[in-house]
Amino acid sequence: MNESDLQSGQLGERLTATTINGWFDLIPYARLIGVQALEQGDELLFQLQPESSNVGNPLLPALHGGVVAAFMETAAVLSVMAHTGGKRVPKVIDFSIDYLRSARLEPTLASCQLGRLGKRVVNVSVAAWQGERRDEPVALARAHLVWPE
Amino acid sequence: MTNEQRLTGLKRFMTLIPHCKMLNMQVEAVSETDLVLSLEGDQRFVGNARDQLIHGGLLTVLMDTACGSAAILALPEPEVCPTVDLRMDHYRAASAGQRLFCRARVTHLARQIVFTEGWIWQQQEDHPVAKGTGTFMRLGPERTPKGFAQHLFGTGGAA
Repeated sequence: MNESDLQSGQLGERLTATTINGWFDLIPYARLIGVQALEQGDELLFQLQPESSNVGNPLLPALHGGVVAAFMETAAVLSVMAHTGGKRVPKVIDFSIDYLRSARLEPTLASCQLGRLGKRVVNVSVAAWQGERRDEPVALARAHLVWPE
Repeated sequence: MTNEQRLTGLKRFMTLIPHCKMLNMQVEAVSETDLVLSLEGDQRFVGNARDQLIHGGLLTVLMDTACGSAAILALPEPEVCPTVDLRMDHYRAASAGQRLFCRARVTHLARQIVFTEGWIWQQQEDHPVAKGTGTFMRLGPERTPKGFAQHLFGTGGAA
């Protein structure tokens, strides 16, 4: 990573899940679908509660693919903010999601990886899985974010 | 299938999808080539309360539903079509308090896959807030629950 890249979103000490969960007042839609931050050991994870109102296919039943995307997008934004102290809110410029398996009505977890924390653009990858099946993700997503001018 | 049947079927489809029902997603128009769905710019859908902006993920829900509906309607007989992938480009922020519209259409119908695109706007269609591209898989008649088409569109058997 280029040193000058770090000026705008300094990687400091990561904020805790408790701090992040205090931000949901500002994100009503994330609260509506039931997103939470949690810590598992050293890792910051996000969880989507299994709400029946999040179902997209009642026959299986399976979660709405758009809800899974909204969950993963929320995770991407909050994870960037958690790693940069939470002072600025990055804007999502594009978001791309691959659906690998249907997401059942059970808790869904997500982890994020910063590909590049640039001065202007941030690249984040997100993986989502259910139960202990982390090696069998339900979806993989990628987002680009920009810092507001 | 007539446009009247498509409209009635799609409206029924919206009430059968729990999340769309909760959001109160509406069907505005359906034709042979495309369709328009809409959502209110509700406070519940905000992603940035300080600036009163709609959550990008809510736009993804609208896009996925609109593109998926376009895929189903483009088939000779409705089949279940799970999303393979979806890409969203956010051209500008969407404001709370203004209605959201999404027009979607099929760009290519292949044997196993349906390619779609859509765009979301608030006040002017030629000033979109987001553009989306979705790819859907056709499950085929054998893996589509019996009576799916009949249940939604009041059609059955070969189209």
